[in-house]
Amino acid sequence: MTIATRVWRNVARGRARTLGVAVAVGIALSAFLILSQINTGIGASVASAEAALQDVITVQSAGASTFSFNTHMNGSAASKVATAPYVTSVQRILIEAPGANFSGGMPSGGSPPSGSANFTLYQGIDTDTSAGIGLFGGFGGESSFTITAGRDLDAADENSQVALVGSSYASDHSLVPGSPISVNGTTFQVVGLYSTGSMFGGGAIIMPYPAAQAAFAASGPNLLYVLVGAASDLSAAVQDLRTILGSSYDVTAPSEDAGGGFASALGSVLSSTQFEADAALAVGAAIMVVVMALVSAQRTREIGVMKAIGFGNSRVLAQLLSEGILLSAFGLPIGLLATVWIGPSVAQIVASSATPSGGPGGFRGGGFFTARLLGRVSFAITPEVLVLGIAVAVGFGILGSLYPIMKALRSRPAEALRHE
Amino acid sequence: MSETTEPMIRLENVSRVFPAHGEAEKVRALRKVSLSVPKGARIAIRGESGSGKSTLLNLVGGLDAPTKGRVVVGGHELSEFTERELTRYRATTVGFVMQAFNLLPALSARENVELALEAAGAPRAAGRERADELLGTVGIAERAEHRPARLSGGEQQRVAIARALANRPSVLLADEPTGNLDRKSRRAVTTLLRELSEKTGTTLLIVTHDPNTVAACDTVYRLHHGRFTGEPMAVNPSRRADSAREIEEADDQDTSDSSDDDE
Ligand SMILES: Nc1ncnc2c1ncn2[C@@H]1O[C@H](COP(=O)(O)OP(=O)(O)O)[C@@H](O)[C@H]1O
Ligand SMILES: [Mg+2]
Repeated sequence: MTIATRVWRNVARGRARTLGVAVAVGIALSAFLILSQINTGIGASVASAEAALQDVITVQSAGASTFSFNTHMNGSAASKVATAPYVTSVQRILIEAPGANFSGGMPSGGSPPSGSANFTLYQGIDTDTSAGIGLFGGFGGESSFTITAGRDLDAADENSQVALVGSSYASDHSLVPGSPISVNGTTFQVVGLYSTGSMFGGGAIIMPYPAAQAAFAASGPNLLYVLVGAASDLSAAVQDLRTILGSSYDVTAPSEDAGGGFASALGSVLSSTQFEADAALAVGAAIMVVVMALVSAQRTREIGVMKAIGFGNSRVLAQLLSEGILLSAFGLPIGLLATVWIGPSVAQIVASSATPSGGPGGFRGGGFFTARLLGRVSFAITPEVLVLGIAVAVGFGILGSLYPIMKALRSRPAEALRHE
Repeated sequence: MSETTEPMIRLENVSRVFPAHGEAEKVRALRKVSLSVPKGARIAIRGESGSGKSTLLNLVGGLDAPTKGRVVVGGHELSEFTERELTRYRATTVGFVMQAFNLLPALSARENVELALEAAGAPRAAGRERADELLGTVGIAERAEHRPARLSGGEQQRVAIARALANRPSVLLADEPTGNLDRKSRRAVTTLLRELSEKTGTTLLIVTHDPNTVAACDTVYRLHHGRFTGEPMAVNPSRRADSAREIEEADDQDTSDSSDDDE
């Protein structure tokens, strides 16, 4: 009979014990995995967002919110911005959502309106902006933006009535490349379908800015994304734009926006999820230590028996440590399944508790973008996650069993045998 | 047995004091106990509960160490053993049978016996064969696959005896081996212990309350408050049944009898 056989027998014998430990480990493990995946995902996003936002300025009507779809800019403001010092490119963004009601913009601290179910989001966007800021439309800068059918919009489409349609919207409305689509009474032609991992993108209709502006008879864009040549020019560019545009426009640099900005919102999520992941690990370890202490109290006598019949400490230790690890390993599938199942919901909760409300003058898309990024955190079981999960489970097993075993081993067999 | 031969078990002024622990006061479980057991002898140790019987057996079995004095078994003083030697001693020199059987619940009868063979380093294939042979010797070959929970008390104790004898120990220690058994099993287990020790020449040290078990031995010691009292009593081999009765009657009178327990 091998040690492995005995390990298996002992673990298989105490079914209730095994299940209890497995559930405890599973819960602690999934809490840790979910939070650390959110953390890792956001860490990467913060880095790329900070990098991406270094040379970005946003311009909107004064006091407007990103989601105040009615506050259009004066069309001439956009051209003034384009010719301002330092500015290398300007992306005009028109957002229309007929039927949607966002009085006052984003609900404070809330998650964004859940997409295409209640209304259709139309976006007009400059198609010749090679820099591709595209945080909003999913153009260029958004890594998970992919064309799933047909083609992307390009500079040649500038004045055409063509549209990209989100794949979820397209399947709801049986649209394929080539289908006509009515946009506020004007007929556009679908040239491509796209998908993004984000909440809005998958349901929105994206058109070249001029065609969209005409279709909605809008006076100008809702929002300008302005790129300056270099991050070092940012402050000067902001100053100049404020002077040029005057008080009727808000000019903001998201990267410099400390209060409630995008990057800082993510930063706070980052540090809180790091803390929570660490806490989950500590709580998991504590649960394991308590459970294993209870479990090994029953087994002290068995340790005494093994020693009495001539097993040395190292063999007893090897067997019981293996048992602890195996016991804990049963929690691994539970932890992994729970991670996949409840991870996205936890991300939602983290998103809604961590998103800033976007006060006046701030970068008002902050909460929205945070939520979008959290929506994109993947909870798939990658090899990395599997390795991390195994490492944590093994760690729990060792940590939990080591102390009670050592305690039992240090006492003389006679004492262990007296244990009830 | 000649006087000059080294006894199998020798205790010299052995004391065992359990130190005070929390609420519990310190306990002098054994007080300067000396004992000499020749090879092949069958010794019964009697005494009321708490008189130090198990403590004495644990010291001989290497499961505990004396506070003072020497425990010498087979010519080796146990306190001079390294941890490794002590482990080896427990595996091969002594066999232990306990009141609570102490079989491992997850293992079958056969596996419990194999475990002892494994502890002594026996090759696995040989272990299985020997385990079955031992289970046959104690009369429960057909129960080899059963786990302890599915065996009666008497059967469990037979497995424990098979386990204790697995490595052909020179000393078999039994701590109230019939204490948890019904009358019929008590007799069977007593007979088995006696027969096996006769057959193998194993020195037998039994702690027991059971008059029949006492009478199955050759010499009877009595512990009282951590000391031997009176002279060791020899059991007349031709009158074992009578001896058992006499011991029982003596027990009834004993209850008020007590020696001084000053140190
Ligand atoms: N590990 C221990 N710690 C403290 N006291 C003990 C320990 N083992 C035994 N004792 C005490 O030593 C005395 C003798 O115990 P024991 O040898 O088990 O008696 P017996 O087997 O004769 O009933 C008792 O008072 C018991 O409570
Ligand atoms: Mg006892």
